[in-house]
Amino acid sequence: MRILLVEDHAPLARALQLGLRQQGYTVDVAATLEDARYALSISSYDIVVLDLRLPDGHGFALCRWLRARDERLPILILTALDRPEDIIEGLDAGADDYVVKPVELPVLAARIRALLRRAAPNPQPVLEWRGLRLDPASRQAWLNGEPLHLTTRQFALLEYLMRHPGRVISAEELLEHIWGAEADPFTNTIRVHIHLLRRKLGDDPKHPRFIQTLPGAGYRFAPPEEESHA
Amino acid sequence: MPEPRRWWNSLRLRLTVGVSVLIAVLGLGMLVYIANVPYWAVTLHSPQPQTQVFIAPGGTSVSPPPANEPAAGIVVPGVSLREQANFWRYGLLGVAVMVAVGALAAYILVGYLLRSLESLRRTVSALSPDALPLRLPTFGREQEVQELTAAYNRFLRKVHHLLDAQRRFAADAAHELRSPLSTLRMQFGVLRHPESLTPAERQQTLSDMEAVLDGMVQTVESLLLLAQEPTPATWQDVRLADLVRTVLADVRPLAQSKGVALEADLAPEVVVRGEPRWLAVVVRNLLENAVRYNSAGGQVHVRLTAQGGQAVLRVSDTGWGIPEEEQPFIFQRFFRGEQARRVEGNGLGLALVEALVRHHGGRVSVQSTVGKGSVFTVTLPLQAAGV
Ligand SMILES: Nc1ncnc2c1ncn2[C@@H]1O[C@H](COP(=O)(O)OP(=O)(O)OP(=O)(O)O)[C@@H](O)[C@H]1O
Ligand SMILES: [Mg+2]
Repeated sequence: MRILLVEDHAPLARALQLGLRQQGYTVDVAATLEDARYALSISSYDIVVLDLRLPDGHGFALCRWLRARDERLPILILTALDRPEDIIEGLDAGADDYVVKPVELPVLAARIRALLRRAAPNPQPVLEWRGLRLDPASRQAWLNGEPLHLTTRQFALLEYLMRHPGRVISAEELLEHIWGAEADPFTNTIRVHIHLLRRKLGDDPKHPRFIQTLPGAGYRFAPPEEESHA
Repeated sequence: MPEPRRWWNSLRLRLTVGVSVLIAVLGLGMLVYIANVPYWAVTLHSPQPQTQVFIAPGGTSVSPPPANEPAAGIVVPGVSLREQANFWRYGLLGVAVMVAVGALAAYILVGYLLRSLESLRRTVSALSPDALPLRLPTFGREQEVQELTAAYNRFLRKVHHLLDAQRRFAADAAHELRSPLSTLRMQFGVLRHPESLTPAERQQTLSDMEAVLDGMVQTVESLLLLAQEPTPATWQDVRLADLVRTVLADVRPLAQSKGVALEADLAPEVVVRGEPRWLAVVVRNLLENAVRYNSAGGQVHVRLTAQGGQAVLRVSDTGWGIPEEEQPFIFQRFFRGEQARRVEGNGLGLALVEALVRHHGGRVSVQSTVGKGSVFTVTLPLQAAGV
């Protein structure tokens, strides 16, 4: 899942970026509204975490701008402004959540999870399918009750697929949302990771139980001929 | 050392005893006086010249003429022993009664007068530090008690002042330190999983933490200074030119990195009385602001003069200037201008300047035009010209 963090206070921005990355997110930082607009227009994000007092204007402007463009992208306002008027205006400007600084990282991460969940086709807190269980909050996965040991990237990959069951997802989309700016478009990163993930899941590409490859199109979790009970 | 609490130290008792002793002394004096006045002075005209009439305390005692008196028509000086004994017996009894009545009256009266003092005492001893009233009510009409109450009220005001400063410090400290603390905690959390960081990221996080800690130290120091009461006892004669020059040397690297020119024009013999450390804080904050809220190629000029018994320090810059609507607020704690948010800071600098200059009996003022620059002027009472 890819986050755009709009925050001008550099030490805080860096701490949040690294902290959220350790939680499995890919985080891009924009220090100004202008940078944020640019980032949003060239890449796609799963959520925007937005400070309000920015050097070149107020975060509400970005909220309205985003809402005029894209109505789904979740926006979480993270600010020191704690007056009721600010909270009301922020939520009315299109934000989905309003968090007052200072905030503990686990709390922020939980709020981000909640927003991502609500925005996704599958809004379950714990994802389950055919004996495969994924708990994004505790970052643990099980297959038929046995714990699975997944790397951060593999976990993020699997979560993204499970959040969008039945949909064909292109390699570019996966690369963008999970690797973000660090992605190298000229490698077969996705192929390698899907391969490793399948091995851990004991999935056979010929007769996939979980991840189906659609050559030229992408990947699909929960192939349609099976009944999905997400 | 306060006197131990003993019953004989009670004001009421002492006054009562005092009054009793006074009455006793006066009564006895009266008796002695009466016993020794010449006989003719107390002799009343009487139809029988032989008859002498004594006026004794408590009533009139008429003694019959003694048998061994000489002839009638002459009043004989002196009285018999028996009569003298009677006189003293009744006299002393009368004095004793007077003392008793006087003591009782004094005891009651003094208690009555001390009532307002007693209620003042009860009110003061019921005071608790977390609900101090701004002032005490009025107790009685007695001037002394009112003066005592007024003294208490003056004291209360001082206590309030001090408590306010301390509460403000606690609140400000909590408010200001929460954010950096939360950032620090996040950074610690990040460093707890060093395996997920590149060496450059670890290094960066560590230096970020250092910067956050430096900021916290700075904040705490400023708040402590703001909470402090002036202690002129430690003040000394400060040669402002030297002090400004030292601070200039500290600020120069910042000015160079911003591309701002620093110039000074300092009258050498300007001396004020004060705490050098605090005065340095004043100068440093003004200079730092002038450099920080300035653009590359800008200038900062410091000028020190003596005028009419005042030392005048003028820091002018060719920086961004302060919008008119912000000017009334810049000396308030935590106020930061709209433009200034681009730069690190917590809005305590000018609040400190104002408080410290005021402690030194001086004033600070500002003139500023957006786009042109600002002039901050500090005046301090001059200690002496030439040392
Ligand atoms: N020389 C100046 N030129 C332009 N603006 C100034 C100048 N000095 C002060 N200001 C304005 O006044 C505000 C308050 O200044 P103050 O020194 O109290 O706080 P700060 O500089 O923002 O933070 P701190 O000094 O605590 O690091 C600043 O934020 C800025 O907007
Ligand atoms: Mg300042």
